[in-house]
Amino acid sequence: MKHIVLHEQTTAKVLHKAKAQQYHKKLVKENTQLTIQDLKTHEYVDELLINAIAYLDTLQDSFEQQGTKMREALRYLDPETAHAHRDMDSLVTAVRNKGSALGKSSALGGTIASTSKHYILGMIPPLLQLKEEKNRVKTYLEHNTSRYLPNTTALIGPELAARLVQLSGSRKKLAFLPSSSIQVLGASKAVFRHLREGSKSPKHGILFTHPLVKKTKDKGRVAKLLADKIAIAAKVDYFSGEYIGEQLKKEVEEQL
Amino acid sequence: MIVKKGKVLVEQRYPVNPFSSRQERHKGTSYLVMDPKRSKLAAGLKTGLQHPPQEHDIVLYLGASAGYTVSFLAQQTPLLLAVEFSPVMMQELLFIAQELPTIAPLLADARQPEQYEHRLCEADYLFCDISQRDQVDIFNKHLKYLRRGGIGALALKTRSINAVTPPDIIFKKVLNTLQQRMEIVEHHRLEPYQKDHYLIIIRNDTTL
Ligand SMILES: C[S@@+](CC[C@H](N)C(=O)[O-])C[C@H]1O[C@@H](n2cnc3c(N)ncnc32)[C@H](O)[C@@H]1O
Repeated sequence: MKHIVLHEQTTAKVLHKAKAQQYHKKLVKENTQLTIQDLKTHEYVDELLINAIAYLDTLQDSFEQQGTKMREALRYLDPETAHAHRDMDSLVTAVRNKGSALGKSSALGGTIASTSKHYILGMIPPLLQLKEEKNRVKTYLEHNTSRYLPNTTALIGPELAARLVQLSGSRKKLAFLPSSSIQVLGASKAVFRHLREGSKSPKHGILFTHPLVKKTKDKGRVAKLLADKIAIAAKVDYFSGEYIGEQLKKEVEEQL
Repeated sequence: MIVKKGKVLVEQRYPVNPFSSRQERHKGTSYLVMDPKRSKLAAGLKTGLQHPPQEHDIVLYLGASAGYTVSFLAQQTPLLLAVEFSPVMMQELLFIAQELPTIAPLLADARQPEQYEHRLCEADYLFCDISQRDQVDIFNKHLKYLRRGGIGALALKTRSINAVTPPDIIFKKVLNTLQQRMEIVEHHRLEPYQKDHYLIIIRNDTTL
């Protein structure tokens, strides 16, 4: 009797286990399929915006670094040209335009062998390529920010709009940020110092790079005004897509 | 899963584990070595965790990430439900799931379990490793998918809750709120393996 009961129990157990295994398999299969579907339909809008603005940074860094070495070498050959163009963009263009005439009318340049001159001129094509690539990325950013963040972009331009997405993490997170946080976005070190040590709270973060903030004396006030409008723009961008960009711009101008 | 000479070892049953190339033999069985600096579960085991997931536990894992801890756990569990909301992390997790047929991946926001609860089943063990401000909330929301008497593990990252308040103060606060609603079985500070992290273990006892 005891024996039979035991046997039945084991059979039930084995059956139960097989059933459970089947059920687990089903869960794995169905969840995997659904997840693959979800991945397939994911659009990676934020990810690509963030990638593009970060890529632009690396291009800008490379351009500056390579350009600095070019400028340094150019001093030995044609210091007048190196001196005349403070801005890297215009220096690169000037050197390209002079080409092999470089150094010919220089009073202060040294005696440079032609192989060395070629070495210096050889630095120009990669720089021009970097410039072109920067422009390509900027165009891409313009296109995507005005499509996915039309109001924010109208207000502060494509690069700054993308920068805010990068700093906040996503369009959604940006849309949920209070304007006081937007105002200091990009100044996290100063914010922490303020919270921890009671130092002065920062008045602006990345918004510092906006022309309106840059040129005013009262940076705190203008940054706050901009942040207020950005907070609205980002919410409208995220939730409705309605276009009120021009109106927001006008409001900023009026309140300045 | 055993701890030997201070190392967390997981029995190797599947040929590929992308995260562990180190193997050790112990009583004739081959084990993979797990890194406590990369896994809060491993860090817990190193700091005295008494209630890790058991061999036959169905595990509900929140914040699976690229699957480091999951890749070990999935070798001993019959079913591991892995929730992760970053698509890029999920891609990595799917590569691992191809090797480990016990992983059920869910691309979802753990803040909204209602959206995927129909894809879950009752779990014996809940592991929550999500570095968000509302991580405790997320943990609490999933207790109803844990069987009665099941174990819940919360890997608490205090920095995500508040980067300014000292970690131990946040930890005590969290412990206090949890204590009012459930039985705390054990807790560990995961230093020096994980900075500002704690592991809190509860038992899902509905009588409380
Ligand atoms: C600290 S990592 C987890 C590491 C992992 N448990 C391991 O040991 O290998 C936290 C993960 O939680 C994910 N996460 C954050 N918020 C989430 C949410 N609301 N829902 C789901 N996953 C989330 C992040 O994408 C990240 O991959």
